[in-house]
Amino acid sequence: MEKTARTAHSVVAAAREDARFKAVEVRKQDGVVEILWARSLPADSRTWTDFAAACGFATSADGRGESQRKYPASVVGLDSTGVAFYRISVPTVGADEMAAIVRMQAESLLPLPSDQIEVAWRTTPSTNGKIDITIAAARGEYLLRFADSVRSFRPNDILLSCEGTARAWRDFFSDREREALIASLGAENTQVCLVQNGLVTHAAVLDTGMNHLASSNDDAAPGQVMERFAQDMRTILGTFGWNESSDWPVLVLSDGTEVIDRVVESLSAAGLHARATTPRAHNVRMPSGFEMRHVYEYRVPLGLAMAALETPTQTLDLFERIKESDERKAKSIWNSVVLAGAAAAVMLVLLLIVWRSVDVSLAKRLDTQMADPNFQAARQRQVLLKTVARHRPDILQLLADLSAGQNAGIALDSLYFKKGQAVTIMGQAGNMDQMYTFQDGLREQRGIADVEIPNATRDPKTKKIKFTMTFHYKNYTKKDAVL
Amino acid sequence: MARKLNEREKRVIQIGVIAAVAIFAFTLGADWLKGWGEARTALAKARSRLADVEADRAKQAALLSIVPVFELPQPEDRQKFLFRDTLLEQLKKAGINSEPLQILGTRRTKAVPYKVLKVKVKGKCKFDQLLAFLANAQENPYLVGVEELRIQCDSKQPPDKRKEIEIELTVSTFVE
Repeated sequence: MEKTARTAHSVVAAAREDARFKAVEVRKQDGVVEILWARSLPADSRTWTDFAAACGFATSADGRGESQRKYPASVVGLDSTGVAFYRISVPTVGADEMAAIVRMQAESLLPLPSDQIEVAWRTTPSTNGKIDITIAAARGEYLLRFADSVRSFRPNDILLSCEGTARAWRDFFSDREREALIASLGAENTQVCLVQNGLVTHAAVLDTGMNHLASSNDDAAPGQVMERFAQDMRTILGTFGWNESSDWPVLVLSDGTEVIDRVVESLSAAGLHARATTPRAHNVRMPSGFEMRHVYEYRVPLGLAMAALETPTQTLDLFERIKESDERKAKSIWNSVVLAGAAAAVMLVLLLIVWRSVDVSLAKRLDTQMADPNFQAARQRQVLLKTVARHRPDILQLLADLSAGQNAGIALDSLYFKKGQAVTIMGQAGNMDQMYTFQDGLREQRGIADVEIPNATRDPKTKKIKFTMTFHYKNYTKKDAVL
Repeated sequence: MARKLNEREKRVIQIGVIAAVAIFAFTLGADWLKGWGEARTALAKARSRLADVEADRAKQAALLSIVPVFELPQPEDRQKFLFRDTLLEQLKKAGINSEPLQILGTRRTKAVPYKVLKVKVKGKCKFDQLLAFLANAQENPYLVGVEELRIQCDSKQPPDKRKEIEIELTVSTFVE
């Protein structure tokens, strides 16, 4: 869950109700509530992630993808069927002491070990000097699973659906009462909550819903389902502290259908001050095609959205410890990253220090070594030897190379070698073939290159070929070899 | 009693401390890095000098086969006589009948850090004597190398009757 301290101007609220996922986006501006859109999806084979994608929250089915648009604030409703409500009265004490008392009382009331249960509570002032406390409790595992399943919605808060119902009654339905019992009929069950001064102080779920009540006329014993429903309501209200003298009206949220009117009649006949309350449109802008019946249909997400648009007050936050745990985990990961980064930085600094120390000490040592006269003399001598070797042509080797090839019938008359110039040899050959063979032989010698014959003529007296041959010898005949 | 600092004040102090540490580290670090840079430059120079001296055995053996002996160059007045005398001795030893040696003077060149002095030899000898001289020449501790060599035979004579050759040889030495 994402943490937010600010009040959003627009919020997406989603809830699962009557086997459908339902979501609305609501904006509140200058006291006017604007319903931007409403969307629903059958929940039979879909997940919250699918629905989040349909609402533009995720690009991939696993919910890990990023949507193209920036996410609005969001709130998700937790179905109250998995939540138990208790109401206790305690003497007026300090906040810390109050928490301890609530925890102790809750442990005695809850059917499971306290470490498996998440508890949220809020106080309402009582008239007799005591404080009334509403406790909501649910299995931790159930909450964790739910929080995980709605992660793709990136909810800023997860509220109880009954709080959404109560808020929807306050903002979108006709009757206004300081204290009232709100009955919201679903397809399979009925949500009943006691709302006092705008806050849910008690809630329960009856397992009779519209499907059962609507079909009561078709049953063999007509009216029995209605009567049982009214009886169940009386029992539930009894646990809420209702009695014959209580003036709490029972307001049944209605879209104006006949079934609900019959339910109201049945409840009235059972001695309850029941009446139906229908949606009204006051300072509410709705998108085209969105009608009053849709306000009834989307009452829970609408109520949740309205609750989320207000500065958070005393909400029953069952997810507080889960949020803290998530934050701790995120903090722990961040701390690990910071720690690893710090360790790496320290190692890097140490490495640089060691590296520098080694360089500095080595430079000093070598400097001392270089300053030693023996080293300088040795270096000077070595450099000199290399210089001399580079500039000393091996003339003996050159002469050996000249006589190494095929030189039958060849007599050399002269040789001229000068650094920076091609070597020139002049000689005589018995015939052209001998001259060319000699040239080829020279070409094969290592260090001799570019063997050319610039001049070759036959001597009319001796009939021999007099030739001039030039070639390059290693690097010595290059211009930069001249000293 | 001193009041507790609020979040904003704590943040201001944190940023101040970080900035102070950063300024201190930057000032100190700049000098530190400068010193390191200087050390690395000195090290690179020293390594380069060391590379002049260091050579593996094979390379050193090859070097010594080309230059088995060599004396450090002396001032010109001294070097030219040392070189000339040794050269003359080697020519005599090889049996080469040379004309008086001609000292061509010195010149500076960019290729080497010394002045170069050249000596010209003209003479007549047998080819074997020339080979003997060349073989022995590298024992001259002042010789740098042969700069120029002209060998001329009597081309009118048939090869088997050529007994003498004319040589013109220019050799070099380094002078300080």
